[in-house]
Amino acid sequence: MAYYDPFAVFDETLKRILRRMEELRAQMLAEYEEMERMFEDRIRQLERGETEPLVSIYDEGDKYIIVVDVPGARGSTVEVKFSGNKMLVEAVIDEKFAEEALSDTLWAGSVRRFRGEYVLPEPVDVQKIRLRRFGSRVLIEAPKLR
Amino acid sequence: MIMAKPILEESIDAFNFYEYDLFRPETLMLALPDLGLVGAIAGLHLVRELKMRDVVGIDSYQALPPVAVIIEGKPKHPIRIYGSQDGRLGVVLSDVPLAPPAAIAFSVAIVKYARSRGVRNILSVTGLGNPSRYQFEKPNLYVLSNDEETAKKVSEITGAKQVPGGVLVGPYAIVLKEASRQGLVNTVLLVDSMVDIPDPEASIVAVEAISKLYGYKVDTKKLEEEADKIKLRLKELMKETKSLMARMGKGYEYRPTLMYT
Repeated sequence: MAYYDPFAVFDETLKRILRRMEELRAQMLAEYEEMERMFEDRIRQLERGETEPLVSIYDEGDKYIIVVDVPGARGSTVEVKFSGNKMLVEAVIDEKFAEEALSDTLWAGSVRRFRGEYVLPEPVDVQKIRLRRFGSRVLIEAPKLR
Repeated sequence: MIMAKPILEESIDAFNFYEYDLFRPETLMLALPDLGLVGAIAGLHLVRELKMRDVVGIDSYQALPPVAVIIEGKPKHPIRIYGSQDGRLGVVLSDVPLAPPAAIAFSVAIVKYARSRGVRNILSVTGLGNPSRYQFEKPNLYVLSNDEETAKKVSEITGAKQVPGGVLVGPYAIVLKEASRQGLVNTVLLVDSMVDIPDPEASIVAVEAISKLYGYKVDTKKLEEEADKIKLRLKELMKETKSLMARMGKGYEYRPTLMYT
């Protein structure tokens, strides 16, 4: 015989609330950790006079198309190196350019270089990589290693 | 220097609006940090070129990080409305990207605020993250509106293509629904853009369209010349925005809708 158990309903509701609270706690923790990481990364980079370039990575099946943005980088100093699935980008930022772009920030004087290390989902064929620069962006075609 | 005392102060949901001038524009443009920072850069350029002054400060001690923005030595609120000299256009700029719960609360509050101040049109300007963006120089302009006539008119004047379908995610989605509910016209200008790299070239397309729509003479040469400096200056804001966009469910924009014709 089926009967209505008010305590079971109460237990289920309580479990749901606790689950939701746990989700919110985890979310908040992740947000705090992210803020902490961002703060530490920025301070560490500024101490070294560096800033990390923004990068967009598109997976086109047999190759990656990677767009690296290095505004203000002196042309001949832009270097992109690959090793397996790792990519390292380095460039010197024009001093005057950095000062003009960040003129009203007190730490502007310390930013002199772009430097960023990135991990691609799969290794690429280093011999077949092609680079093109257009404006502040470097377009990289990196075939995947077969 | 202390922050000027507002002449009017109003709380709408979790947000406080501090008015430093009785500014009542016809159109309120939302230029919030989003894909490619297209709207934010376009709004910034309009404010600078049209010599707009900040007339309203917006803040929330519950929903925003505890931030005061210092501009030319003066403390300001993290979100500000700038007013055009002819009084027709207000531009909402934000120095902080809005986290998902704040984005929803802010979107509802700004529509209520606009309605209570007699604004008739809300113009949202944003990027349409296009993975092929790097392949073309001149990005496309699209329009979406809750008012069919307005969408048609905007298309005629600016050459914008109508958005046929898709999913809109983020504050602009909430504004679109809330504006409809509250009887305001909301037009969204979208420009093909980079997703996670500031895209001033896409902002130029938006600025040109807004100039045509409102009859303002805005020089975009300067924006073209300063594009790289803007990219360097705003790259950290872009990083923060990208991280919040992912949490907001921006991924939904990259799949087809259930319904099709």
